[in-house]
Parts: sequence; structure tokens; C-alpha cells
Amino acid sequence: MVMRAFDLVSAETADQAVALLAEHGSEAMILAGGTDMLVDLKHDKHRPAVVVDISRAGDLKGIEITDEGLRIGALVTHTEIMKSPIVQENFPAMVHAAHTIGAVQTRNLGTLGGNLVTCVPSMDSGPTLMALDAEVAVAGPDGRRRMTLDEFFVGPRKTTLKENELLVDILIPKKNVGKPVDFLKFGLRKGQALALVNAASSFWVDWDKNAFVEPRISLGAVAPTVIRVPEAEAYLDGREITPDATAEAARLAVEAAKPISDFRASAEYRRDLIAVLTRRTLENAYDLAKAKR
Amino acid sequence: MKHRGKGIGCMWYPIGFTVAANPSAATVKVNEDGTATLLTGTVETGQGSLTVLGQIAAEELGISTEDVHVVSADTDATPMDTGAIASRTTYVTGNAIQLAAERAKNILFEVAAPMLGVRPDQLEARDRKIQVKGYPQSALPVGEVANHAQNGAGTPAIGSASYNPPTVAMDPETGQGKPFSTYVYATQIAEVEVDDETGEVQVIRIAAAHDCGTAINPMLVEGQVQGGISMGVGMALEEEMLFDDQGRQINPNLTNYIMPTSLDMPHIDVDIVENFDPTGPFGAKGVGEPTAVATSAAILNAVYDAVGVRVPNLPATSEKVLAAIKAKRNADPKRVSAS
Repeated sequence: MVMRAFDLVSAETADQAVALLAEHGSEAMILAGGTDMLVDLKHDKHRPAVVVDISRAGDLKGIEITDEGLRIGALVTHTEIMKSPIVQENFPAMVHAAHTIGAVQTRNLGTLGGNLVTCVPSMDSGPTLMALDAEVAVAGPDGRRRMTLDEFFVGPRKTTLKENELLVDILIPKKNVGKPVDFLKFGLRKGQALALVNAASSFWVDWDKNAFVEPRISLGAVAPTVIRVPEAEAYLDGREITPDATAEAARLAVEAAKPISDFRASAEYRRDLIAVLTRRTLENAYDLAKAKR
Repeated sequence: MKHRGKGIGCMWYPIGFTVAANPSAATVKVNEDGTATLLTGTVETGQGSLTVLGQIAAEELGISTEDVHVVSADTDATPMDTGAIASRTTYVTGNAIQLAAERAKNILFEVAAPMLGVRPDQLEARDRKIQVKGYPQSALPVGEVANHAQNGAGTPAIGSASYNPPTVAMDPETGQGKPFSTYVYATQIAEVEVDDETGEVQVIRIAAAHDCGTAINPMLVEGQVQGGISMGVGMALEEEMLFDDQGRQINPNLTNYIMPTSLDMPHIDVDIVENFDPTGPFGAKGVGEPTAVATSAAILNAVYDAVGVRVPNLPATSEKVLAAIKAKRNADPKRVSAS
């Protein structure tokens, strides 16, 4: 449990970081906020010869509306998300989700990119972004590629990111900027808690028919990665917004999830929570849609 | 749906056990600059006991709390103390300190009496002075008397004492006896909100009325009560050591042994019910552990008031509360929610 010596190199830009990763290859680890990485460094599993510090890379920072949508730099901290007027205006659920992560100190240092790359199933930033069809941009020696979070997440602590690649930014597509979305987390206590279940729901409303349009439901902590629930989404799409419809979507979400039993909670209890959180996020997103109308 | 409920928990708690030796010893010396040094074997664990013990010595010597330098918990240098256990520090250690300070003070009185032309029993220690009772114009600074005690009278003002709560042995036939010196009493009322779909219990507010004898430092009493309630909230709803089949703890870290954070804490109203106890230092008893005793009972009674279920094995996690709500629904399907 003692950190081993390593060389520290610092990158000022994403391209420099990619070059440093190309130079040091599998011996290198990336340091951003360090809230997960510095803990990992104390375990024998992680003994990098080189740590590439990207925390000063200016082009990995910032929250802005571009022609493509809402761009969030990978280095943006959870606190910055909470304080961003753009995020506050468009996605209060993202502010809430960021607020549920760790403690004040973790949120001040921890980055959105780091949270996604670490890829624990209970990550609190994942469901809201997934429910908004967010994409990530990854930079590597052969240039940049974009993918959705479904494609990015592979398994617990496993993404499609290769060892010579770097997560650059997160993009919520233009068509979804302002889309009503709600996030809820249930943990064993109010602060500094791991989610037993977290969930996000998002949809537009066809007000003529009072119907769901492009519904998205995403769940965390109930499968090897944050997941979408296509069965529930397909069921809701075009359907009138009624208590029965949201209840059926919640039932389908429970069916799609594969929660485990552990010392924190039983799978049975997690299933109960999935139903409640799915239904409540749909109801809250509907309330938000009505308020925005 | 969320349901509100209120519950009451009451308790009494013993202070100063007597079934085994339970002594505290202390030494107080008065210095020639009018300050005092207190030697005590007890240890500060964050509850503020050294402040209270310094206040007891200061009050007895008629000086200010900031005049007392407390040396504690050094087994090479400080007198023996049974320890910061059993909510005994203010009562047992405090009694030893008051006695030791009184002995040092009596030396100051013996020295000051001829200087002021009165008998020692006509003197009192107040406002950093040794003065004639009812005639405070006739007075000497404590420092001057202490200096004269050392360098004139040749009787330095120092006192040592010990206190062991008086023992009454148990009658082997009847079990009767006096196992503790004194008792404190408290009532707490909890108001909770229970989510009948998740089983989540949120403690909204706790009102806590505690008898502690004389509250030597009311702000520290309040702090103790708030701290005890946080432990009580943990006991009621969150804290549990879990073991695997080999007996190894599964949750040995603060990341997975769940205890309340500041966000889990209710609003707390503390009501100190002062009640002079003639056997305690300046009437004080104690308040440490008693603060955590009534909380879980009050919370669980409030849960019952809110949703009509009892969770007999603590902690009443949201999973257990929801299971109890479901069991109640299944047993009585007409009443979807209670009360």
C-alpha cells in the first residue's frame, strides 16, 4: 500500500499528452484530478514508470455551446459543472448528479472525463449523459474518433479507450440541448455514498398527443456498466404519457437490469429501487417539460 | 409517498460506577503569578473534558479558566485516572480536581489570614483574589498570596486528592446495593419522514432534553448531545459491522462502514435540564454516553408512527424498512399505508 516512485511528465495540450503516451506506451498512466488514480497508485496492480499529468492542458477544459452541441472538456470538475450557468440552465439534472458525487474535496478535484474513464458501474455522471445521447471524443496517434457512451463503456473499469489514447471531451448533441432530463440516485446515506441504483430519464413531449418523443432511460449500478433500457424506450416512444405507461416502463427497466446482491443491498431491493427511480425520473422529467413549455 | 411521524425515547443512565475501584487522582498547584497548574491522568477525546476540568479547578480557586494550565494523560507525570470511560470524567475526575484545588486553596487561606488579620474560615477566593467574606475591599491577589506561601510562609500552595465513588456492596441474597453514584435522565423526540416505496427514513428533527446535573459548560453539553445524536442516528439507520463466514469484517473502511455525514443529520434542539446533584463537582453529573441512548428508540418509534412498522434488528436500513412495509401490506392489503 505504498506508492512507488515514477517519473512525472506534464502536457500543456491534448496533442502533447497523446505524444507523451505514444512515447511511454504501456508504462504510462494519466493523471487528471487524481481522485481515483492516486488511490490506485498505492496498489501493486498499478506501478507506472511514468505519470502523464494532463491537469494543465487548457484545451481539455471549458464548458461551451458550439455548433455541434454542448461541449464539456474532459478536465472539467464536478464542481465546475455544478457552477456552470450553461449547465444550470439546460440540464439541472447534471448539476444534481455532480452534487451527489463524493464529497466537496472529491468534486473540486475529480473530473468528468476521469469519472467516465474509470467506468465504475455506479458512476453518478453516466446515466444523465447517456440519457442525452452524449458522445465522447477520444484522441490517439491516428487522430480523433467519436462514439456514444454505450459504445465507450465495456465493463467494470473497462472502456474502449486504448492505452495510447486520451478522452478529450464530452458532447451532448445540439438536438438534445435543453431536452428535459432528470437524475435520481439512491445510496445508503445522503453524502459520500455509492449509488445502490441511479437512474436518468429524458424525452421530448408531443404536446398535441401528450406523448413521449425520443424517450431515453439509463440506469447505473445495476449492470456491469451504466446501461440504456431500449425495451422501455421502444415501449414509450409515441405512447401517451400516463401513470400506466410510466409504470410499465419501470417494469421493463427492472426486467432489463441485472443487479447483484452484495453487503450493501440485495438484488431484490435494487430491483424495487430501479422501478421507483425509473418511474420518478420519468415523472420529474415530465414536470420539467411542462415547466419549460 | 412520504409519511411523517414522531416518536419518543426516554432513558436513564448511571454515572460513577462503584462495583469496582473507580478512582481519579489530581494535583493542583497555584503559581506565584496567580495561575494554576492542574495535573490529571484523564485524556481529552474531543469532547472538551479538559476545558470543563480546568473550569472546575478555576472555580474552586476563584481564578479564571484561562489561568489554569492543564497537563493531562502523561502516565509518567500525571496522577492516575481510571479514564475517559463510562461517562465518568466530569463527575469522578471533576470531584478529585475540586478536592485537590480546595486543598491548595486552604493553604492560600492559611497564608493570607494573618496578612489580612482574619481567620482562614473568614476568607473566600473570588475574582483572582483571596478576600474577606462580605468585605471584599480587604483582599490580596492570588498571585501575591501564592508567592508569599512559597517564599515567606514556606508552605507552597499545592493540593493533591483522589476520589473513588462510595461503594455499597451488593447483597448476594437480594442483589440490592448501590452500584452507581448517581443517575442522569433524558428524553428525545424524533420527527422522521419515511418513503413508503424505498423505505428511506429521513430524520427531520430531534428535540433532546438532558439532565446533566449542573451544566459546567453549556456549549460543550450541547456539543456532546449533538455528537451523541449523530451516533444514535447511525445506530438506528446505518451503522453495522458485517462479517463473512470466516468471521472477517466485510466493511472495515469508512467508505463502506456507513455512518452519518453532516447531510444525514437532523435539525437538533438541545434542552439542558439543570439539576444540582450534591455529590458532584458544583452539582455536575455527566452527559457523554447518555446522549446516544434515547435516539434510536425515538427514531424507530417515529418510523412506527409514520408507517406502522417495527424493525426489531438495527440498523433499520431502508431495505429492512421497505421489507417491513411490504409485509404489512401483504398482511393487511386494505390498508396500503398506515396511520
